Amino acid sequence: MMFYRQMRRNASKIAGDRSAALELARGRLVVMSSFFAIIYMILAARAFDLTLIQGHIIPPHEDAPIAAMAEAQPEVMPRGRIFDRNGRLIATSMKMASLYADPALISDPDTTARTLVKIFPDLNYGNILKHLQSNKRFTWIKRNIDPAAQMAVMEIGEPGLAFEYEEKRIYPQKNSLAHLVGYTNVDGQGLAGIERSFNNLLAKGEDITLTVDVRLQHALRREVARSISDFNANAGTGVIMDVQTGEVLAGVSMPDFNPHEAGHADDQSRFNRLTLGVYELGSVFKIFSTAAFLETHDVPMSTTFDARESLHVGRHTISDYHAEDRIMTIPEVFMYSSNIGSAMMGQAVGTDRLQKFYADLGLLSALDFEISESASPLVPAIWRDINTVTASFGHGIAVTPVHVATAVASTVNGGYQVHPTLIRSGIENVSVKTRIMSEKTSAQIRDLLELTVEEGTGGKAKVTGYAIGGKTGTAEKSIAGGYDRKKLISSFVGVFPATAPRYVIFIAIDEPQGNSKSFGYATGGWVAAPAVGRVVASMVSILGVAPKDPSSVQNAHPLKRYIAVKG
Amino acid sequence: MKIKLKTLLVWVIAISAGVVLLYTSQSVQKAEAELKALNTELAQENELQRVLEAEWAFLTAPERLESLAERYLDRRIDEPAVASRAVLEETGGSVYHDASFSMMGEGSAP
Repeated sequence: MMFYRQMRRNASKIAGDRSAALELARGRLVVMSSFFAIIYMILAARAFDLTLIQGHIIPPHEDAPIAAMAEAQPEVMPRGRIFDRNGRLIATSMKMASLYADPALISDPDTTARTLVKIFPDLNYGNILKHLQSNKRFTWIKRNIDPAAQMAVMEIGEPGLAFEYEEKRIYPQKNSLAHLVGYTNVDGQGLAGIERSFNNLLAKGEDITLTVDVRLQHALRREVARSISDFNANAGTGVIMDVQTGEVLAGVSMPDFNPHEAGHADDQSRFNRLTLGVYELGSVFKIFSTAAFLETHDVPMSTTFDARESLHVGRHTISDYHAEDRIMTIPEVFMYSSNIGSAMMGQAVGTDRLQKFYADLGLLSALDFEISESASPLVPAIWRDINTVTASFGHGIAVTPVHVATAVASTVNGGYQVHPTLIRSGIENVSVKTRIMSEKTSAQIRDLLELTVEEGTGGKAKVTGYAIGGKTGTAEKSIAGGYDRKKLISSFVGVFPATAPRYVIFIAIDEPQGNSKSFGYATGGWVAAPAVGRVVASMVSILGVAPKDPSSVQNAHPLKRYIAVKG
Repeated sequence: MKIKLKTLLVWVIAISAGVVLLYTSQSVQKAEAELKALNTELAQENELQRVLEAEWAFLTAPERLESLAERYLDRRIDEPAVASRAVLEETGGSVYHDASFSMMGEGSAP
């Protein structure tokens, strides 16, 4: 008993000695076990999180290589849109779905093929079935399908049918602006027009606003097309320009093409006559030579030119198309479009001054325009005096329709140089205006143009209630060694409103044939003038231009007193 | 076994930190999912807007409107609205070009 007690005493003593060590060990155990407990708790929480909370997220199938590929592609900005001046859409890009099938995943090819043919009636059942039963893992069913059809395909619920998305360029105005806006290839690279010259900007997703108005564009296109069909012509072109800013409000080249299928268009249709076609336009140039004459000679309108005899310059003879065989005043030379009179004016101006004047109007240099398809004028390589004479009535010098519109704009707007533009900047043009002729000369030309429509060759451009000015041009097409009298370029340039012009409208028709309504004539006055008149008639409705006040209508044009009444 | 107050405190802090962490990560994930859904929706809406915009442009193309007007309205399009002068004056419309051009918001008259 004593021994036992002793043992206990000893034991308790030992315990007392060891208690500190035990306490330490216990502390370590607690730390260790709490460490593990925390780790397990974290694991449990994570397992809870992954299985129960995020468990519903299904990872993408590893065996869908195309889907994986599509996901791997970075999100690209859609190509920028193109708008007209009023914000109407001209070009946009859309994701279009293309349907493909993975035949290995299709359990019932027969039913699937039947359903697909119901959705796409243009597909062939046998063909589809053949594709769906093949051993391939990928086969196109249909490219570029619309959203409704896509929805219908999704509703089949067939896992073997899937979509790939491609960007497609859409032109809601179709053919209307094909030459100015251009088109892209399947990879979205701009190949012509604005699409080409602003490709980098558009590719970055930037939108572009043009100066064109789709409504005016349509009106112009309709009238050019009508003239072509009425006069059985080859082609035609037209442009509407703001005379102050040089903004191109409409530009047409016909025949045109569908920009969605530009690859199928022939070269004739794709050719942009507006900026690439250079034409000898004939009498339209009398506007510029007359302006040059009035600018360099301070003479009254009653100044006369003897047009009784043909003019001989070197070995060339200048004669009149509408021969009047008499002494004519300046307004008469202009409105009866006398080559002899204009040639005399050109001679009076002189080669250097006429060349300088034409150069100021931009008629001698390449078009400074936003689309890269633009041509340089054809001008005499060596400018002799005979070239001055012929250039006075528009022969021996060939320019694009945009050149003509620009030069007329600069002539009638008060005499300031304008530059053609197709991009609406949205900022007021603050650049210093370059004066190229006096306000007086510009006003005189405006009067002459108005007179030509009221009394002269441009009469068919008249629109009741509105004052229009204009000048006709009828040029024979140059062929090897001369001119072909049967092949004409008939044109008319109109300015509107005549007294304070805002717009210049130019239309040229290539090889028109006279018809019974025109009594066989195919001249600018019969072919292009009425077309310009109809364009103006549409413009006043579209732009809301009120007609002139009937009470202010003068009985006779102020220049009329310089015109002899034919007896 | 006596648990020290300090230990208890550490436990409480650890557990509550864990709970807060879990809660935060859950809300971040939820927000991310929401963001993804919204972005998807936004992309879809943008795409839809593009489609509708193109469709509107197709439907209101001047060529189409003109053919519809010719079919359903008794009016020739290329006739100028000369007779409407009286109407224009009555309705406060302008006479001749100045104000009517500025009405179109096309900048200053010459």
